[in-house]
Amino acid sequence: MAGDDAALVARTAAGDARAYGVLVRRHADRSIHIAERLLGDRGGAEDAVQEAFAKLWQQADRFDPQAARFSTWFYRVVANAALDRRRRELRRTASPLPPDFDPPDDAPDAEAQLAAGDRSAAVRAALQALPDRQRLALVLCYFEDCSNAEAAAIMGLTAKALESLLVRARRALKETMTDV
Amino acid sequence: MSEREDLRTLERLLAAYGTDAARWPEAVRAAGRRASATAEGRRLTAEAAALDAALDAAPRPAPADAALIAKLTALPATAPRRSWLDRLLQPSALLGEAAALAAALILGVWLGAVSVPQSVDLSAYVLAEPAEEALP
Repeated sequence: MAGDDAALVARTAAGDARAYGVLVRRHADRSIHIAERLLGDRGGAEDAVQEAFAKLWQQADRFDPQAARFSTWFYRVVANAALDRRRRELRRTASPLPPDFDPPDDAPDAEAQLAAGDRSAAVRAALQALPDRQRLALVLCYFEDCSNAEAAAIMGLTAKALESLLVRARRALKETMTDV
Repeated sequence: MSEREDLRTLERLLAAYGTDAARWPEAVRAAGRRASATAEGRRLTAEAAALDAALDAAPRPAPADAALIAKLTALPATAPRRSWLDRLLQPSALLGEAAALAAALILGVWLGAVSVPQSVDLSAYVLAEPAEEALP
């Protein structure tokens, strides 16, 4: 089944499960890549992607083809699902301990992993340590090869604001990973 | 554009997007490429390349496998669609509607209380005797 995304979304909104299936096969890979890079965790990423596609099926009528491309709208839904999931997880794991309690972090940080020679895990840890918006900007522009206009549209930012996030993200990574 | 301006552009591009010109905004790509061919441009590019190499070492997520695709395509059977009426009647929507109604009521009552009545009683003019003209 061919057809552009906007037409498929219109058919999905009308209850056409086959059109929805085409959108799944067309956008699942990029969606899971965005979610996994944002969360650093495959299981959570799959849950976030399922949440996003459930929203697409249930609320396809909310997509306005005059306002944005489908990919722009949908990857924003995916990113929001992933980041909401991350915030919920952080709240859930936050323990009601005294404010001066400083729990040891079991996860090795980027520097420790660099010292241990695990470069790939070190980069993942450094990326996860970035603020959400900086990480999302980097994921879209660097890893998912979105144009800066597309990434800015997904994030609801101007191109200049996106560029500023990217500069801060790369600067922070450079500082964290002094040995790279 | 001067060589100095091109270099400033390249510096900005490297700081935001890294060394791959394909990631640079099209409008300034040519300027960035011109600058990267200079000695200073090559030095700046080599510096930024180290971070790119580190980022390229990040784990690459696997594509969506058959099991995930199956779960996603099965969602229409497991996630029932909600009509606009269902969405309108869900608790969060009802709460919003109730808040809007309450705000409208409060505003209406307040406007009624503070506004000055504009009606004029003309009966006094109609029923009154004609005024006697003042004698000189």
